[in-house]
Amino acid sequence: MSDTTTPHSTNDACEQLLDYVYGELDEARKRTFEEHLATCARCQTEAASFGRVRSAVKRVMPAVEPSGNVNGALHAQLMHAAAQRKPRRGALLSFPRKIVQHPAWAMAAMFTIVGGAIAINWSRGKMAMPAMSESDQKVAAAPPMPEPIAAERQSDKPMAAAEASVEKNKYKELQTPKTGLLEDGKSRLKGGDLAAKAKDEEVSADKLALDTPTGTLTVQRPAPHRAVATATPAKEAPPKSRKVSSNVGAKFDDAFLADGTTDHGNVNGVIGGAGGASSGALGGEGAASKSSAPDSLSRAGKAELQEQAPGRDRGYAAATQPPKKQTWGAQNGAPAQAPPPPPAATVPASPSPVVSSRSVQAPTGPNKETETLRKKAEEAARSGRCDEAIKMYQELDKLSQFITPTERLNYVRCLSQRGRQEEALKRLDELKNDKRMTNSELQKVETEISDARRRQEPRAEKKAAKKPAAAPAARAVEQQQQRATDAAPAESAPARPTDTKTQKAY
Amino acid sequence: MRDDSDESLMFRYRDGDVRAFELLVTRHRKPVFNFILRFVRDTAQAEDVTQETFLRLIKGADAYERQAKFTTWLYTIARNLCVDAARRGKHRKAASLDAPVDEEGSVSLLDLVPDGGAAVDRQVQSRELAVRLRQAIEALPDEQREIFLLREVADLQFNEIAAVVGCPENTVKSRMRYALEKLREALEEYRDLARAVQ
Repeated sequence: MSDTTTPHSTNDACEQLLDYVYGELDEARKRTFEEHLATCARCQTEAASFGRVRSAVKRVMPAVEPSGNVNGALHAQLMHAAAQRKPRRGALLSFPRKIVQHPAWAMAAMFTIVGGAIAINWSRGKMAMPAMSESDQKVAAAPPMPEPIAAERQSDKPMAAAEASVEKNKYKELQTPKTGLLEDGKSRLKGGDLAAKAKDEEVSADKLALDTPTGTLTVQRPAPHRAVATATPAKEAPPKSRKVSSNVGAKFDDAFLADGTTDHGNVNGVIGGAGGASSGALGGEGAASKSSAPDSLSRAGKAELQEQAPGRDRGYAAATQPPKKQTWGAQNGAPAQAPPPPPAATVPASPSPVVSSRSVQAPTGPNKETETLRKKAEEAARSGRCDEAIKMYQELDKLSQFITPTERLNYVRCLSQRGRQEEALKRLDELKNDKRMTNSELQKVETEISDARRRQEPRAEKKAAKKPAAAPAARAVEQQQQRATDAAPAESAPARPTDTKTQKAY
Repeated sequence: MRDDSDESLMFRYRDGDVRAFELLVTRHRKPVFNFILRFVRDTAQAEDVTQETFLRLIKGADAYERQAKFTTWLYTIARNLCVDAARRGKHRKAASLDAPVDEEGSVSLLDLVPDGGAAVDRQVQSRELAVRLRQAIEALPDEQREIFLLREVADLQFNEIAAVVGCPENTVKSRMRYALEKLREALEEYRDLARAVQ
């Protein structure tokens, strides 16, 4: 069948026959075609015959009404389907909608996001915490704390206890690896690799400037504390000296737990400015100043102090009182100066210690040197080179780096293997207070130490038998050394370039 | 004044106006059903295809653009569904002598077989004419028949049919002319037969 040729292709007017029969011609063309139709017999015949066919078809195929089914149930179903359709929303969200609705798109989006996050982290620090840079050293930390009024302390006890517990819990999770120590009237806060020193000129209501080996660390008071500070007006001018957060000590609690010799009488977490007045057990260089700051600010500190004061007081003394115990550095037997006694004028009465509950969180982060040292120390400890390992751990301690419990354990092992069981046991006792240590590990090391001690005893007896004359002299020397150690534990600490009298448990 | 053209109703439905869709259904259900019925030649199947046609409208409402005429879109859907249905039904369809040859089911092929009686009244002649005409329409090639039905039953213009079928308008007119000529021939044959019998 050929559709391309029409029977009337020779005559353009005849081609309009169908349009004329079906009434699709406009008036002008219709008139023109009717003029042609009057002269064309063939078109007349065809128009008539097509007309008849059309009328016959109309008769044969009348319009049929759809059945009741179409008008009833099917119609209702159709309308229900039409109502179920949600109208189209904005075209802008069509792509996100497509992503959300299509599982494959959703998966792809999720992988993209997660992968991107991993890639960013990887490129920044290979999935590790980045090394501490100077610009990163600005962290939120404790605000200064004025001294409370002693008379108000007793009435504030319940409230203070509650606040103290809140504060304590808040900072419990913070990892502050090193104890803070005070000496020479200057407050020094050890945390991570930062030895902090308060600067009066940079101290403001919300900030605390701390000297660090790598620069100055500005410590920002946490917002809630600022709110407290601003809510309660100061009765007098704010003190120049700033109280160190006793929570810093709290982070180092473990270091002092086993040390029953720590004097908790004067617990003053004070970071005194070099030129500013400070009060506390160790005082500042300048005259002591007593602040009459808002009581609300001092409650927490008081409460914590009161909570910590009895025999089990642990960390708060760290900020003020040099612990009477050996330090890591003391293991070398290096002489160190004992801290000078605090000026009497700056030592408050016994229950007067004012310890802020603010904590100074010194940022700690791995850097290349310490990480290398850490690895070397671990290798040395593993390979039995105990002397090297001990030195390296002490070096780490000097650098104020955070020492992990495992490293402490290695250190204890090394001490034990080098025949220094007493020290090892002391360190082990300290480690027992570390919640991260497991009993099995501790027992294992304890067994090792006791075994080593048993092995050494026969040798010592033999030596004593061989040299009976030398024994009393040696014993006298030992006793002398022991006395010296007990009297001034810090003396054995090695001299440090920046902080020669700092003592630390870890 | 509200524009109640098919296109505006469809846009209103696209924006969530179900009432507009109901108006469209009411307006087009009968011609669509008739077109489908003549195409598929089965009432039940025609109902199903009609329903499916309007469901396709619902599904495609979001994609409807104003450039397209609504009837063109509607009959394109209906025609495609009819072609699919005819393709499926072609394999299982077998002419039966008992099957009714008209929609009313009153005349079967047995009725049309000559029984030797000489007297043929006018009513019978009319029925025979109708049967022959339907047979002639069904005998048309598919491409001519669909155009014939779209023109006569759905009452679409030639340019619309061209859009529905997807071929040039001249081709549509040509096919239409051939279809009309074949039907004319069938009518003339019957007229000659009727004259001879008389």
